[in-house]
Amino acid sequence: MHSDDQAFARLMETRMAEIRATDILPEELVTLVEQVLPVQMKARDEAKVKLPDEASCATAEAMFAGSPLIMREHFPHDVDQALGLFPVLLEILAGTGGAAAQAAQTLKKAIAAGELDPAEALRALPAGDDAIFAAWRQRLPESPRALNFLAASALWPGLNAAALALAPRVPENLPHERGHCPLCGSLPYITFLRQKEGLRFGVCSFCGHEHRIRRLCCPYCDEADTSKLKLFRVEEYPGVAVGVCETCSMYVKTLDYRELDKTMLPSLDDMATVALDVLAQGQGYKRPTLSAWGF
Amino acid sequence: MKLSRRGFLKLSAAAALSTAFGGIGFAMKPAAVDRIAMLKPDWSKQTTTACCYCAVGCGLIVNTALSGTKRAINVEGDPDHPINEGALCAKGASIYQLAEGTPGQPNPRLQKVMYRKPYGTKWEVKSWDWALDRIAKNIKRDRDATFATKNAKGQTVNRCDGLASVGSAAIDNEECWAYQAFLRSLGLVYIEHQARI
Amino acid sequence: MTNHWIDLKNSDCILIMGSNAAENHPISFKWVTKAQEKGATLIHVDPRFTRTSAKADIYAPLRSGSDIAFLGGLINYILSNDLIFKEYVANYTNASFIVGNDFEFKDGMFSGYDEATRKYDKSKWKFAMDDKGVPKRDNTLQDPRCVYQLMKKHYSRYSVKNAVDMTGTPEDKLLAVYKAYAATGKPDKAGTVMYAMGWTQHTVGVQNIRAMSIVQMLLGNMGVAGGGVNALRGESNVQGSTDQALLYHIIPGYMPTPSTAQPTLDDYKKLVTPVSNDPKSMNWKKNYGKYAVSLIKSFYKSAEPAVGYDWMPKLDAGQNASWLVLFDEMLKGKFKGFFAWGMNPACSGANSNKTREALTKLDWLVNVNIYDNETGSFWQGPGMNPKKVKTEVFMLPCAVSIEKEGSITNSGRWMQWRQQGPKPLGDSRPDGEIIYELAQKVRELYKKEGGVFPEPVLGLNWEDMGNGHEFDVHKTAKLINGYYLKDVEVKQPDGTMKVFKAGTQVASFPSLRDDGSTCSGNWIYCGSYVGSDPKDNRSTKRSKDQTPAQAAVGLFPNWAWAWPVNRRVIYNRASVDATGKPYAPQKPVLAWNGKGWDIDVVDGGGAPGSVHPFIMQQHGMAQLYGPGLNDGPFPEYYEPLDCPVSSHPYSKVLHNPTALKFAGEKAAVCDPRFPFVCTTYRVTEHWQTGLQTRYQPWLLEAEPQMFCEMSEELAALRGIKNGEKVWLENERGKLWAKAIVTKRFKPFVVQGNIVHEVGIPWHFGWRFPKDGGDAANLLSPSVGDPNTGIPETKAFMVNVRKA
Repeated sequence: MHSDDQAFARLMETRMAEIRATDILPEELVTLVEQVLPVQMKARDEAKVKLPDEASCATAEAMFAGSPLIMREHFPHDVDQALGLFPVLLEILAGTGGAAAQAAQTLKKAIAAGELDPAEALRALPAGDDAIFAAWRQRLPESPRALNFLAASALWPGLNAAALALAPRVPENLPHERGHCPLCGSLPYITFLRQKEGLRFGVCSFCGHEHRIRRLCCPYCDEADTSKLKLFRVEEYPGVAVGVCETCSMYVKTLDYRELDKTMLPSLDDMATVALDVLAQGQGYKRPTLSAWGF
Repeated sequence: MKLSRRGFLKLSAAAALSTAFGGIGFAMKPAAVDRIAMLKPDWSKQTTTACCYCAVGCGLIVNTALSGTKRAINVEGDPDHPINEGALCAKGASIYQLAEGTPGQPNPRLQKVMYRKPYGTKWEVKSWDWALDRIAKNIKRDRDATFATKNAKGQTVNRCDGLASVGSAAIDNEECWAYQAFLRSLGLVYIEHQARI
Repeated sequence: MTNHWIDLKNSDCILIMGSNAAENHPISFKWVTKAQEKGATLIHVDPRFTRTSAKADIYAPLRSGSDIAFLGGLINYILSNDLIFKEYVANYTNASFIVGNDFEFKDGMFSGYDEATRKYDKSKWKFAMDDKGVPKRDNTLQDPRCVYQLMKKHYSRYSVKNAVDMTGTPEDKLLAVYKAYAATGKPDKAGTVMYAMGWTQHTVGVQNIRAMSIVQMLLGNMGVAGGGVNALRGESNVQGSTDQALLYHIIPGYMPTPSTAQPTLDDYKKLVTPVSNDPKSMNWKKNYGKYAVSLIKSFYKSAEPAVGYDWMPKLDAGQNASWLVLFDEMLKGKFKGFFAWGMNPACSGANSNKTREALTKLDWLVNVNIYDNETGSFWQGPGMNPKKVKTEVFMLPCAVSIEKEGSITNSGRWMQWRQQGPKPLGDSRPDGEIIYELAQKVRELYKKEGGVFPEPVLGLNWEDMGNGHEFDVHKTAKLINGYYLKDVEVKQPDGTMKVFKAGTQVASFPSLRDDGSTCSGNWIYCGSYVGSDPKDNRSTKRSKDQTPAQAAVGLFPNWAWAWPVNRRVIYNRASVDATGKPYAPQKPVLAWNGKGWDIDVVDGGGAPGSVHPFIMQQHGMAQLYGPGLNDGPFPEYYEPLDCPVSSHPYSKVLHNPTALKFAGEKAAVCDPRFPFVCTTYRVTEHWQTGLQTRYQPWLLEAEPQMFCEMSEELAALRGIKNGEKVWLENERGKLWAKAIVTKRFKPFVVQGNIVHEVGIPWHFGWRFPKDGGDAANLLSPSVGDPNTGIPETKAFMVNVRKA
């Protein structure tokens, strides 16, 4: 993502206009993202993360064999900042309307009543401990991922700040044989092509790191047998291909920024092409990772 | 060291139960659902190949339509290939045109078997069966007529001196092997190709 | 290539000579540039300033055909300044070997020459052997009859002055090249050479490369990262088609074609299996008997090996059936039928008028190609009257590369599998299908009608190449790898016995046998397809998994498969000393870990120091002195057969006395009618005779027609302006071209005289496009190298005048 404030604001403005023009997603959702993203960008610039020393990271040998630099449960982030962002995001959610706003109210009450501890949610998400989220998904069937959204979006600025700082530690010649993030081991939520050679990158669904992925593979199960992989495009969405894998029945969108000829903003471009998700799901394929905001 | 991915991927699986952008409580507009249903996916496959020109061996990705024309849609450098890393020269970058010609114009490739009879002044279109039958008969006639089991000195040679071949560095290893085996089984020794020149 | 494309990045000094890699192997420059970014020096030696020269740190112009004067001078510079890598030269080359007393070199000639046959008696060049049958050695390199001293004496004549006089290279440039390249003689430095047809297409082609090989051995540059002798092969599968022996002189796996000198299989085995009495020499060719028998069994599965051998065609002993001879014989009417498969000889062969005329003598011609070409349509070409041409012509349409499945082998010996994208267009078919179906039809005829010597035709193992009707590329690839024909019990290293069932793929060539129990269509490919599943086809591998040490030198052991045994740098054993320590510790290709070897697949195996490193050589040593070639054990300077000088300072022998020549072929030596040197080359946008590229508007637009590059000085002399049409002509033909008057060519000063050189591309032909011009080879001579027969199409004489 872009860190220059003004440029980013302009970029976001045009992209939001495009998303509205597609007239697919409800206005409340577009507004929500429009409010959340600037908060996150600002927070990322301010995040304080303590990077682990090299000895507690994976060795070059281990990384060449497929290990991430740091397992996601140990991935550095800014807990204090996340705790501060949590209520801010909750307020934004509360201001949207509909089921989401109602869910926000329920969560607020639960926090006030001591039933929900935001710190616990912020601990559980990186740890891969799904119990608390599962419980709230059940309690909020109309807005099942409200708590996931809050935790993921509050943690993201610190995680991404750490990812940016840790990226230089990825060995220069590291093979990109696996679909997961070399920094934290999580899976991408979208992939894109860039440079005239069409290098493919995945955007990590956890830390936001952009990492090389093979052009011909399923990033979710690492299938690389081309007879098991195919793709579709639709005329109305130039520059976007949906790759599907017959081995694991997952799909992933690939944005070809060479063809799109616009500045990259994968999280919003994911949103702008949600029609293709619906289409892919209609064909029986699934996506194992959600949007950049955890919903 | 081989590493199991299961450990660090457990969270992702849980997410697969929902739909992206669908879990926060805002339903998609009904009209939008109808419009999405109208979108027509064009399915294609991607295969890998190596360039047919020089012997650097650059990798390419070929994208081929699975319906409609079933022809190549695009041919581009393979960014994962360790030698060319996606880059191609002018020729390699034009392989699409080599195969598919120029859109909107007749493809200049040979697409029919052509035959020119002795002292003929034009090409005639023929079927594969007709041509291969006739070539096979020519081969047999002239092999039988020119085959020598002994040379002038009386030494065993078991060769056919009346037939010769040049080619090809443009065909695959397996084809090269089959071709030379075929020619040698006929007794040819005049077997040459690009590598000599 | 002994090394591979990515390995270029490891070099400290890259010499590009006889090649314009930046334009003709453009992607190689990705790795050349990487080396330069790390501080490597790039040198380009070429008659013309090209895009390669533009990227070079040192550009040295040289007159076409004078390479051995240049390289011999470099050898002399290295020896007289004592810049060799001594430990390497003494231990890994035959520098210390004592040469027998019959060897002599006098005034341009080696001992043993026979005027009548124009051939040498190579038995005069043998090494002196000790009582155990091992070459005598003097490791101090002082014995006057040792290779080192003989070489020193031979090249003492190759002075800087002589080099400058003959090459036309300015002295300062020449010395700059010598100095930069000789600096790679330090143990931890590597120099590499990239060459192409600029070295091979000469009557001294093999010796050009030998001369550079000597330089590489003296500097310890063989077997190391960033070193080697690297031929930039020009067609996508010319490495593979050579490996599979689509050549008269070899059968698959680089074994010689049987001749009347080996009437039986036992005679043949004796020929191909040299003996070494040196216990440290692996002498790998001692195994060739197993490979030969396994090959025969791949052809004739049901026949006894001795019978299968009998069925194979035999050359007359010493017979040359190479390209130029083939077309000479064709012109004389020797052949009834002829196949031009994926080739365009009417433009690609030297002396095109002779070649085109030869095609009129055929009864029938089968031309297989993607486009109509000058060969298939020769009967309607310039100067032909179709009504007088008897040849029956079949033109068969074949598929393009992306429409086929199968493997090709690149210059770095990587066997890469191609997948099928779209199906073949129209009625076009993959070549393999055409070959297979045609062969079945021939076989049916022999079955039905009988015929002369039908056994090999009926006995050929088609069932392992298809299903009787259709070609099967996987089955054929498995046959090339080889499999067990019978259950075979083999003792394992741990003493236990293991049974390999009949039908099992052979894992690697050390397991091949000479009793008929294994087959393998090409032993060097044994190890490429090691099981029944398509996943066992190693050429399909596309994993970039590697260790950090492999990544450091750009070695990708899991991407495709390289022959032999997935070794990426050949002779890598020479990169370490007798204790296994890499000479270049900052970029090792091999490292001994106390138990085994890491990084690349080691040449030979065993502990450090246990075997001599050059395992394919009889005596295990690199050959500074090469007694096996037809024109002498040391490269000697000779002029091209067409040349602008009447004498040279090295000897009284002007031309290679053993060059391949034909009656009626006229040479122009200092002929005032043809005063200019002419050379041929390629451009980036076209390929070979241009057949595949001329039909593509994207490429044709960039290079639409025949041109002739010439210096401003020559243009002024002949009153030619840039863009004007000119005629080039000599005794063989006449050709028009558009003049490109350029600073890229400069006149040479040769023996005090001005010599002009011009250059033409060889991509054009009369068939398409209209007004594109015709073949450069209309002008090139049908004379060739005495070892390979490759025509001298890089240096000949012409006249140029305004049209």
